[in-house]
Amino acid sequence: MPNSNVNTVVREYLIQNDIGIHSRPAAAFVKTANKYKSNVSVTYGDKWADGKSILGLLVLEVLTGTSIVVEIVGEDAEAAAAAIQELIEDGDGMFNTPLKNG
Amino acid sequence: MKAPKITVEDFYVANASSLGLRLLAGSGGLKRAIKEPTVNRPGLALAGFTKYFANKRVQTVGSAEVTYLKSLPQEERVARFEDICRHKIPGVVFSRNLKPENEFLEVAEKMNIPVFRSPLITMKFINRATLALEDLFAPRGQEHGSMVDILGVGVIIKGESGIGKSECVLALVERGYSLVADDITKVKLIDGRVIIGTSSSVTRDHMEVRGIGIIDVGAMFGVKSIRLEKQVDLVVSLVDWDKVEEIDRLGIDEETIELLGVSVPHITIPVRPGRDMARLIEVAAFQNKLKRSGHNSAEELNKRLIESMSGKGIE
Repeated sequence: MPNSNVNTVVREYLIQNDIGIHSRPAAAFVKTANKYKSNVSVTYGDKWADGKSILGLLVLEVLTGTSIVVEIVGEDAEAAAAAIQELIEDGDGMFNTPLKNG
Repeated sequence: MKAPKITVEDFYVANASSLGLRLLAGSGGLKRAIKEPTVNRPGLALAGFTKYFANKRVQTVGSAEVTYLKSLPQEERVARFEDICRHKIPGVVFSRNLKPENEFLEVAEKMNIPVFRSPLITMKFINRATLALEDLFAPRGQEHGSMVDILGVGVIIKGESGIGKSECVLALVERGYSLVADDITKVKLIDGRVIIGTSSSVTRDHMEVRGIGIIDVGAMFGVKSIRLEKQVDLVVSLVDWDKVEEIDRLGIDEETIELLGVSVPHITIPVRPGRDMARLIEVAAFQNKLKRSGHNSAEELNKRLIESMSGKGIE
């Protein structure tokens, strides 16, 4: 196994949206993760999920105001990490919009 | 959408037997256009009030009109009849087998206004003729795709040639569903909102399967496996796995496609060897049925999730 071009990127993100990672943010995350070959895993507290599976992410029940750790392993890990970072930081405010009390 | 030009002859040919139409006079006017897809009772016009006369419609004369005309002196009533003919009406139908006077027929013959007789009572005639006209006027088109009725859900299956549409249709027919059309589905818009799909009459009940040739689905799988026409409820596009970029992973938001100017639910299913496409289309049809009955699985799940999560977040 040529391990030379396998990269690993680990990043932590604080989720600051209305309630946490519900269906829509999860779908967006999975869609982005699936564009890359790398394995994407999401750790939340003592739970772990495949970042390419919607139901997997939903089961984590990631609440707003808490953090997830995204670990990306593979040839295109850097690119995948950049895309996921952009999604979480920008992504139409799906992951970082403060709660609108209404 | 531009409505097709419909002549009195089209109406007559299509409905002679179902409406019991018999042409009595004015055959020279069969090419007259019916400009509005409905019928009119010319009572007021026959009484002499021709302002706002709905002269673009097929005129239906029933007992009321005939009895009224009988109350007039003969010259007067022929003059009245001639007057409505002068308003460029497409044609006149006498219902209840009422016999028009010979003078009326002479006028109609001279002015090339087709006059028919129908044994139906006026109300029945109006109902049926309106539906028949609506059908004649319905905007039509055709879709490149096969159509199957899956337990009441009309599904058009589209996709590039060679992607496996016919195999899918065949597998669905084998599961007990009915073939509406193979390869080309003719569609028409009824009432401005409902799309009806059917097959061309030549290829009806037949399909082409690569490697086998033309098969007669009705003969092979029985009468339950074919259906003449069906409302289109869902369009499924089969797309090569590698060519699919954006795919809806949740199914919360409904995607639609335009058919004859009407939005129809649309889903894209990526095709990859080994995927049971027929099974997926079957499930898509059931999902559509669930949604129509007010149950959106993705939304329900999200609701449950949000309920479970809300309030627990750290502000």
